[in-house]
Amino acid sequence: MTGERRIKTKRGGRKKLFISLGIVVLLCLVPLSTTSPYYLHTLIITFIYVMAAASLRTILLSGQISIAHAAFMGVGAYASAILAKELGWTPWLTMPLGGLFSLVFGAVIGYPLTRVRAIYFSMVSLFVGLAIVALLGVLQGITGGDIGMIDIPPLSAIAVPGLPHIDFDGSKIPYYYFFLILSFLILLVLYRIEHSRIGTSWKAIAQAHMVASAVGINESGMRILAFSVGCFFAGLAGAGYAHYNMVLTRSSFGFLSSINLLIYVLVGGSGSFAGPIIGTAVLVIVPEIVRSLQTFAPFVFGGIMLFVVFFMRQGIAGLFEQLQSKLTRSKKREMPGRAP
Amino acid sequence: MKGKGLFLMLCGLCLIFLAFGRSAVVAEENVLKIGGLYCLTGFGSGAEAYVAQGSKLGEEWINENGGVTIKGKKVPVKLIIEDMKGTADGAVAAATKLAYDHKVKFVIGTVVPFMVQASGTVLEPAKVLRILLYNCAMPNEYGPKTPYAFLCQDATVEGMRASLQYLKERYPQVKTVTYIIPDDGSVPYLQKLFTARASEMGLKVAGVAKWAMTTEDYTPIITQVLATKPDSIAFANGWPQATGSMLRITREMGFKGPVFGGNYDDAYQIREIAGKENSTDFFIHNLDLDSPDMTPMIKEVTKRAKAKYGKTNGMYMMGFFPWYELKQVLEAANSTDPTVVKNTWEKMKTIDTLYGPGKMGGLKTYGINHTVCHPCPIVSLTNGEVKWVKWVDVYSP
Amino acid sequence: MISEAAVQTVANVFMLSAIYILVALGFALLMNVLGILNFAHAAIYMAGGYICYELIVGAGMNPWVSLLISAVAIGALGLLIERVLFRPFLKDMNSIVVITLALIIILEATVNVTVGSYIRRIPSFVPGVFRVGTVSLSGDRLATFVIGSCLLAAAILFIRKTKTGTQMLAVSQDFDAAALQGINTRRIFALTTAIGCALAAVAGSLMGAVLSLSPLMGDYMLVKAIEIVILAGIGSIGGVLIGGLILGLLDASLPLFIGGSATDLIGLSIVIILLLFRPQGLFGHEA
Repeated sequence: MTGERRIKTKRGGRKKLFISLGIVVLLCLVPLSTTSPYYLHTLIITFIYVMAAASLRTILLSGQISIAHAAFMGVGAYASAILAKELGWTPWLTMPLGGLFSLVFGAVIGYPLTRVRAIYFSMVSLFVGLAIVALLGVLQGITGGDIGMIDIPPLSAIAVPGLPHIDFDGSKIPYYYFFLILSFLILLVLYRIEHSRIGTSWKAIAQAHMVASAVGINESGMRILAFSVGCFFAGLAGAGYAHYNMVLTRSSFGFLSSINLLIYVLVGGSGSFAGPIIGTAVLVIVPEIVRSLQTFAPFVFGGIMLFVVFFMRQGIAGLFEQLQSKLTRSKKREMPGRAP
Repeated sequence: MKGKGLFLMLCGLCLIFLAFGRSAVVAEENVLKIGGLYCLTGFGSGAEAYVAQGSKLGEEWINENGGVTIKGKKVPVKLIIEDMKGTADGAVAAATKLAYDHKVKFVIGTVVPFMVQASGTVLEPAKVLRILLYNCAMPNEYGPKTPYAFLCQDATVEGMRASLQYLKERYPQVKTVTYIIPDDGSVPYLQKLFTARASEMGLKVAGVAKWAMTTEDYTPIITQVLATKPDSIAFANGWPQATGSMLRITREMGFKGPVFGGNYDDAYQIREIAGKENSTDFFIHNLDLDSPDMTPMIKEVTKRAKAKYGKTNGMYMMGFFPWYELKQVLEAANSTDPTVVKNTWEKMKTIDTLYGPGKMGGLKTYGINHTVCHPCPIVSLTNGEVKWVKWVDVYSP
Repeated sequence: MISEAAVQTVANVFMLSAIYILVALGFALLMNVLGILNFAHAAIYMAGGYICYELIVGAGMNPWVSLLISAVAIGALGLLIERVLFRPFLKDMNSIVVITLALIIILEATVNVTVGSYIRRIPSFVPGVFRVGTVSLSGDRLATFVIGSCLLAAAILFIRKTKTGTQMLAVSQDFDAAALQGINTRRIFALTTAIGCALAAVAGSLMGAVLSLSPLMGDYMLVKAIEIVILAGIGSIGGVLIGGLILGLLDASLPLFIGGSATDLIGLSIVIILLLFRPQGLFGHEA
């Protein structure tokens, strides 16, 4: 029995990997059809927010809805930017350090924070996010306060002997591939974590924490872990953003941004791994398409949200699962005598 | 996520990308595209939505005569407005769209410092000539690092010069002033500049108060300010709800001395927010559009605004302002190449402005000779009435 | 003199607390009784203010009458929102979050494209300033204090003493049990939403006169409302008083000692620390 199930998962897993690689190949081809910095910029921003949204969902898996996620992107972003700008370290080093900084920050705050439950957790996380943004304002000397930080070094050139020299000055194409690869790797890591024992423990805590504790799952430890892991990748995404944008402002990491990330995850479908990816893609790209509507553009955004809530109960990603199950059900009906 | 569902999703995403790619820019011959960066939604839209409307008046004004004259030919202009949505990310996205999708070479707009800076990181490397509408004296906002940016009108520093000059004239008994500055990163710079300005006028700075951007109720700030027992109170920057609320609270708490601003907020709006009974002994760097002392060009714009929008206000003027100068510099440079225009503009000594004759300056104050200094309008609120005061000549060396 | 500022600050604390409590009241009602985190409170509050403005300035009506009409109109809007947007999703909090956020976006955009984002102010309900010694209190703020206190007291009495209020309490504690006991939960939901929205409208109208009116006026006020309700603890309307006083104390006194972003940081940190020590809020039920 167990052997059968394991084979099924492996086959399913291989199929998913294959399809994901297909999407990546498709995305790799984009710069060949358009080198317009505007389109590349929008896609790069999408990749960055996909990383952030996916890591937010990681926290959601453990039953904690965080509204501080953009602030932790900010923590990683400013940490990496300050290290690179003030100490002159290469962003290739400061970016993971930024993520690490965000992880430690998240763990320290998470330690008391995750003791708080349910809606209180979400609201206290909101206050934490606001406090982080206020802190960035207080530290005006290094962060620039409200006007923000400028002259952040771009990614330093890749000059590995044997490989072609890649410069990150000027064209956005190297950044595009960098973020494409980075987000793919991060999604891969998050996917593996979700489907590991840790991920299962998180889901257990989310659904029935009493039972989970009873079977020996260290509830608070797992919560802090989920929060910290989420913060790490948020910080990493933020750090990447810092060295791409080369300017950082508090407005990018405030409560509106955290709410946006939450919307991306919920509209995309918090129940499925692809949810945050689809939600982010739609809600970042569509507003760019409808730019010309100007003051009417927010109606499209709000409209999409309401449409998804009313007609796609499990988010946009859930729609495909619904279609999928409908198709398989009709397939099974065609084969008489087979038990469903 | 299994086969068919994923395939459908892929198709959906492809459709999105295709629709996205479809918004290609059709190259138009002989039209000069001018980008407009304004906040039409979100933070700052309270003022900038109206500045954008004023900007459209500018476009129409130029095109009425066929356009600007470049090398003997008439080139019409086209204003392309992109919404910054009140965030730095929005400013970057809008600036990127203007520079790389619409491929504009000139951009008008941006008021709030962090959006000025953020859009600058896109537009400066792209060598797009920017005409800024406001400035808060921060080095990364506007200065030697932003060679393609020009400040088209008097901003905080110039406005404060004019206000202090008028203060000395009208209220000679005032010896001290307390400044109120929003905590947006500009406090150290403005504090230094304003303390210097005050001592030039023989005034002592009784205190400097700063307020958080998220402040709802300004009473605590005003309580603190009044504790410094100043003869007068000055607002460095802000927006109408802040300026108006603070004026109101100041008067409600019994302060009788002059209150003034160096920033550009509409006097009628401030009167509404402060309340008529509190609107007295107040003056600010803005216009009274009904006064006969307005320049002929202002009267012309007022006429056009009333025709098109049914009303007029100072923000329409702010939107129109850069167009008046843009026409001159384009025709003086006789080129639509922003680098050529930039070189021409910074060599100009004088330029005509909506508010009267202007002089190029700013080298010592900002580090770059790209500021247009012109007569600064002072309008006052006296016994609940909006009263035009005068034009004060200012110059930022 | 320091003591003058100190005395004024004491008055400021009470005035500001009243403002925050008034704004938070409608939000607290929906949170406590229905368990709904109504982010849209920010926009409904704003809409109430705009309707009041249009009635007073546009139609020239008496300010208090306009206030009442605005409250009734927004209360009716609340009924519509409950019927169409909340009722189908009552067991699904994620959907409610998305809906309320969509509501803010749509309502703010509606005001932006119709009336415009020009900053306005509702003419004073109670013009003039009252001076008590060295302390100045504007008429509008005093009115807010009085109205806020009355509405808070009324809300507490309503929940504790009236039949409908007791039913609301029952619904808030256990929805299914309440339904089994024969309480018309649909009616309770509709009524609560209507009252909550009406309270938001009253707050918006008064704040439109005390502060100012803009499409985004609700955004930061919402954060204050959330702070108060969470500090108070879900399930306690009376706790809103204490939560409001704490927040009013912080926001009215901190700027005197330290200005700028630091006031935000310290204020938020204190709230966060309080909540970490007492995660269910000061008066909330144990989780």
